[in-house]
Amino acid sequence: MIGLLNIYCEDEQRDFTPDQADLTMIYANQVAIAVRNAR
Amino acid sequence: MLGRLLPDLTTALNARQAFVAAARETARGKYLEITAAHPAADLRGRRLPWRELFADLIEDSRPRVIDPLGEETPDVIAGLELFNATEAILVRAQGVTGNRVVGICNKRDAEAGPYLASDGRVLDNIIELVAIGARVGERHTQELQSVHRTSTAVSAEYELDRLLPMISRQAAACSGRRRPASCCGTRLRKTWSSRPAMGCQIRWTAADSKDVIMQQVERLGGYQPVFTPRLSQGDGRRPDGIERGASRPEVSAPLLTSGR
Repeated sequence: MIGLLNIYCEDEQRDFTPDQADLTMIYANQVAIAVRNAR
Repeated sequence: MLGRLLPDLTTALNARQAFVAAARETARGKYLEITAAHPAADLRGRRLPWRELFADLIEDSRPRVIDPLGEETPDVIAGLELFNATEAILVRAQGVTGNRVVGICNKRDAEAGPYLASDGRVLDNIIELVAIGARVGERHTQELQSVHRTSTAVSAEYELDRLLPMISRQAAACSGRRRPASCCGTRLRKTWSSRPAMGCQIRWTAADSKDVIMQQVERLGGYQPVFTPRLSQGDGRRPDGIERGASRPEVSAPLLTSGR
């Protein structure tokens, strides 16, 4: 693991859903690919 | 999806015509654009002039039942001249990308009695159920388009200072929140580099606290995205670092590379 992608919201108390977490994971994978490409 | 319902709606509600129209706005003003009509499908693309009736319907979402009882030559309803409508039921269908008006016009069998408020509620309930499904579809479409945009960017761009904020921004935009914030942090050779992307004012500079979070993400999530409230389980406290507020919802997804 080389880092974190973090999403949050200051003014809503509604928790993130598993679907939203999965989508965040997709973006995190893209970030990881971008980091690998940049190397 | 709404358009496919129109034939059945006209039959069920004893109407001659039905339509779906999307609310549009340009620099020259607002109007409704017909996206589906029955039985005159060729009305698709035609415009209905913006009227107070439509504005009020979209504003308060209460179904409108217009049926001038007892008039021998009732007036055509302002805004529905295209259908020559003298009686109608109008409801709002709210989507992710905008509002639509669904209407049925003109009774097929005049002897069947007037349109009632209960007819309006029936149509409203049907359309709302369909709209719920349509909103889910619209959201998934937006998410897929967003993922496609970022995938294309990752293939074409190697500059992390541009890519990482862009991807973080897209991730936040798809979070379903009105004012989301996002931040992407990478730890290479034990040095943290953070890139606030959207609404986030915090730079990750305290490397130790981020390492604690990463360890907990690894321990709790097993390389899966983790909701920050779960991080507070176990030792009974939240880790220091990412957030100032202690109770906001948050999700952290690990950046994984092959073999690590």
